[in-house]
Amino acid sequence: MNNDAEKNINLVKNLQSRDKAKSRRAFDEIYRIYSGMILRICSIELKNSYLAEDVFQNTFIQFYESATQAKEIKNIRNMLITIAKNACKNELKRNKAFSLEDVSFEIEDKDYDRNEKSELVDMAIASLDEKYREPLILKEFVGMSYKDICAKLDITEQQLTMRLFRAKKALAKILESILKEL
Amino acid sequence: MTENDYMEIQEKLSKLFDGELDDTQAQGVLNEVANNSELEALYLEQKTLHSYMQNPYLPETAGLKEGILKRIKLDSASIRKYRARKYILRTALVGLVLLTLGGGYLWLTNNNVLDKYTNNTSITEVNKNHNDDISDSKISTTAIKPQIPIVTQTNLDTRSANTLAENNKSYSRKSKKSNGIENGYLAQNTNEANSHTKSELSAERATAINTELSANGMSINEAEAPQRNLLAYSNLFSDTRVAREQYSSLPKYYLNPVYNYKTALILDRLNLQFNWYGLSKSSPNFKPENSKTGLINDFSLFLMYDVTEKTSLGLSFGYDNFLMQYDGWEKNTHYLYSQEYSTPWIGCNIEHRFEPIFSFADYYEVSPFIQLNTAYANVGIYTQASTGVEVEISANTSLIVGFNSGWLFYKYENYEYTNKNGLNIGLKYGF
Repeated sequence: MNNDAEKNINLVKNLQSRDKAKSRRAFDEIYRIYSGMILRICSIELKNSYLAEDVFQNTFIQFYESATQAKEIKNIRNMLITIAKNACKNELKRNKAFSLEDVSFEIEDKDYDRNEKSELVDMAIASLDEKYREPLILKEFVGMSYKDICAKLDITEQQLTMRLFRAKKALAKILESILKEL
Repeated sequence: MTENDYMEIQEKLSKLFDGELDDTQAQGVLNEVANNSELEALYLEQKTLHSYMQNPYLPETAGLKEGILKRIKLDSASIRKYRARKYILRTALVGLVLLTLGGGYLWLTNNNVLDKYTNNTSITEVNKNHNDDISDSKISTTAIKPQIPIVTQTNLDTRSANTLAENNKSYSRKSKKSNGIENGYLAQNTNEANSHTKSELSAERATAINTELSANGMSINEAEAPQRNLLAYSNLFSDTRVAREQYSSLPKYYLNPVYNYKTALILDRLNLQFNWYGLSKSSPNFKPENSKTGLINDFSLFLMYDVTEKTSLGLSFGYDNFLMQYDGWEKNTHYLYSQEYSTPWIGCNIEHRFEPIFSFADYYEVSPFIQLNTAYANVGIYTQASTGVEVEISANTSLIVGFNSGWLFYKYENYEYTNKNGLNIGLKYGF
């Protein structure tokens, strides 16, 4: 058993503890590791910061409730991502006004700082087709290996390589003006 | 470079930033990039894109976290409520443990088991020394020698050994007369003893011993029991009758700490605290000979009730070891009696906690406290004052670390006291 798997088991065990202080410590650790990633995924998927924050909170609440009832959780990260993506999909279904098709995205002719550029990158990612967006998110924000992404999306490595390449190429085209500033 | 080759290099470049190439493959791609300006531009573009994607630009989510914690009831307020919530089962278990400990302690004390290990350590040796010689004739004629292990004498006078022996007899006799085995402590009036003659002392001594033995259904030759009565100021600390009288008069709640607590509300406010005192500096201070004080010396157990959020009142019980000393002149002879004495005590205490000075892990707090304890011991009043910090180490358990100062007041000649200052470490459990 590797360290990550062992840590995963311990975190879940502590999270499920009847001692609320111990449970809280485990939750704090999980939140520290995964909150940034989950919020960014929600932001990209929903393209609305308020909706993203709501879904982000619901993701962790649902995760805690599921985790405290589940007998075994093999991978906290995958569980959080699954919950977050499903929650985003449900939110988009409920609120058509924020569907990705309606997102208008243009880069103004001004100086963006680094954070603003990152936000533009996220918006550009959000505008990609899901076929390209999903593997890119799993690779860049979740940090999964090609092997794991292939298994999750049920595609070959060649297909994945091609999708990621095309996704980045599309992003480069959308973000041409800010990428050329270097 | 064909178009296919160019595509292949671009894909590899993408993989390079994804960390999916081994060192050899990466080196090959970088060589290609170095030799092709178009690829170099692409490389820089991908690098920039990658750095923007890796930039965690989103603001801190502390506010969002609070909302989540409230919903799942893991926020600080919920945890405090949880901590304050008491479980009857736990209370019953702790009560059972207390009863077992208390009962066990009483049994040990009543059966004189504890004394063998913790009380005045000289008793056993004294008995051993005198076992061989006890008889009617010897008792009536043999002077009680001063070489009692628990008592060290320093004859600063140059007078003869006879003078010294006479004074020792006087001291022992006086102890027996004034307090018998119940109060045979250093604290005796030696002036009264000085007025008796040798023969009076011997006769009274023998009578007292015979009376004592008769009461116990034993003859003078039945070995060990009489020897304890020969030693006035060691007897009083080891006599089990004294202990029995003490404990039989204890209130019921001592024997059963949860006796009167009928409601969960009261249980909610109960705390149990165990303290151990160590590294203490005593006054008077000397190094006892043959000290065999056990590990269970110098401890206390508090059962406290939170009358307010910051103040608790409680019952206290403990067992402490003291160093005592008498330094004085009798008939131009300088005596220095030193004694190590262990005694149980029982009393009440009050604790006040101040606002936390520090917190960690969001909900564990470190709070200063002061504590005063007044208790009744076998020979007098014992008072303690403690100050330190309570460090929460779990939902309902705190570690106590602090300084402790204790005074045992007892009567000898005029009033005397023994003082101990040291560290105390303890554990506090909230029900």
